[in-house]
Amino acid sequence: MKALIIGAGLGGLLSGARLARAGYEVEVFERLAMIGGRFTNIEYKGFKLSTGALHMIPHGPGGPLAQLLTEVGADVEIVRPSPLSMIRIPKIKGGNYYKEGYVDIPFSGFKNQFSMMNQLKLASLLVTTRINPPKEGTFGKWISRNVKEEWAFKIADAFCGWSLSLGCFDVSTKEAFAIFENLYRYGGSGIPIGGCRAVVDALADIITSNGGVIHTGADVSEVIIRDNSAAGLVVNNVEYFGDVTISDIGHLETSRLCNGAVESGKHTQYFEKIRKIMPSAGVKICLSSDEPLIGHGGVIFTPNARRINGMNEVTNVDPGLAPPGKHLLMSHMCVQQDRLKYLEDEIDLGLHDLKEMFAGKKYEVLLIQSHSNGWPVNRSASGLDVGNKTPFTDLYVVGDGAKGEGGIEVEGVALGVSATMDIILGQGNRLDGCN
Amino acid sequence: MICGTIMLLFIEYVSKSKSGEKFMIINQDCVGCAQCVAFCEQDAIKVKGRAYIMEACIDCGFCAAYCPMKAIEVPV
Repeated sequence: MKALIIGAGLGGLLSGARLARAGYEVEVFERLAMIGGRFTNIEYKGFKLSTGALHMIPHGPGGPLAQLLTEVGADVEIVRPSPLSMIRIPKIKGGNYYKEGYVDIPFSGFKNQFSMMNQLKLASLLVTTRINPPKEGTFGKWISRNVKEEWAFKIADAFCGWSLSLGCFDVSTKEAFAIFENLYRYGGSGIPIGGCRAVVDALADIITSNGGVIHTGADVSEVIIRDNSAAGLVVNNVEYFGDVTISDIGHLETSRLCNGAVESGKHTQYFEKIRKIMPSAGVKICLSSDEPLIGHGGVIFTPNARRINGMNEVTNVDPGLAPPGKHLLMSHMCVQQDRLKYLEDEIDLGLHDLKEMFAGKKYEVLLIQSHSNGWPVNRSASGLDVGNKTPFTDLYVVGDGAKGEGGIEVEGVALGVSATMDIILGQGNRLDGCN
Repeated sequence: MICGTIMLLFIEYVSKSKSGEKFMIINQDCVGCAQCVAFCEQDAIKVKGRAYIMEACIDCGFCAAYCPMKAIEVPV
């Protein structure tokens, strides 16, 4: 059996590694000169920055991605930092941003910032929503109905902004509570030693050591559809044929390669659905410093900042991500779609936040990386995913354009790949995780 | 006709070189992901919301191979 894969991003490589281990002949086609998509390292001034994702795996060594990596035999060390996550609150209650200083409190302390009445209400909601997760409307609206307090919106925006690059009014209640359930089930984040690249390199090794091929500079121009089934690909004007085709470039982009087969006649319902998928946008600002700016590897949520949602200093866990004696801090801010036309102004607000939080500390802005449109934070904003199937047999979509429910970023990619493998290989076909 | 076109392109090339104007063009598809910056050996790209080509650019075109948006137009 032969598998053709469009795109060597995390979804494509996970699928390729899983199928190669299952005995498939795998061929991956990547249009860029490098593999890994938005989940790999870029070397810059001796730092190992990342193309997109932060050097972080949302559910750490116990999550869906870590499980899939173990299953395919990818040897990646994922370390859970301590503390796991903190919240930065202004020193003076009700203070103006972080101008008058700040205090970092453990994440669980978010409850204590509410009014006494809402603290009681929240205690009850934390129990009842686990038994019966709410599903209606947006998470922001759910907050408005249940704990209407400014702090609730601030902390929800910081969490959703950091994890999904969305505001709380852009996340469905159903997706938000599916994410909380996954946090209970799998636990918090971890840092892959060696950064994102350690993950993609390990996967690429599995593909090639099992006889697979990864082509770079390979631009797929067509998915060959015959009898409503994907028969092959046209890559740099050469035809390749296979038994199954997996696309890691999103539903809409994949449909554009199908030579009008999606837009025509019987697939209009699918086409209308995928046309509504919206990407999410965000900006990552990377700082370098001689002295640590945070001092631990956990996430710091910044609900009182103007734009920055959160940040982490990965070098406290993996010093190899920076040159000797240096530290690397990565901050993330969500950018609302209607603010994209004022992107530079938005970035200035983010830079202002960092200046305020690190007043008196010496640091350098290494790189400002923005993601939107065709190279977004997520091709499909969380909760908008339409699954992994397409109207054509033997053509599946994986990646951040087809995540699993409740899957934050790359965890969603892993859930989507696992679901696709269950369809292709049949359920109960899990590997034992041997190397 | 063909000779004329080539001659015109050559004249444009020489005049641009003399004026220091760069041939690499960043089009409006650029999202500012900064992937090009990391692969520029001349440190000739600055990014803030979008990429800007600086004077140090030698038109090598290396950055274009790493641009996910196909936003860097390389002179032929």
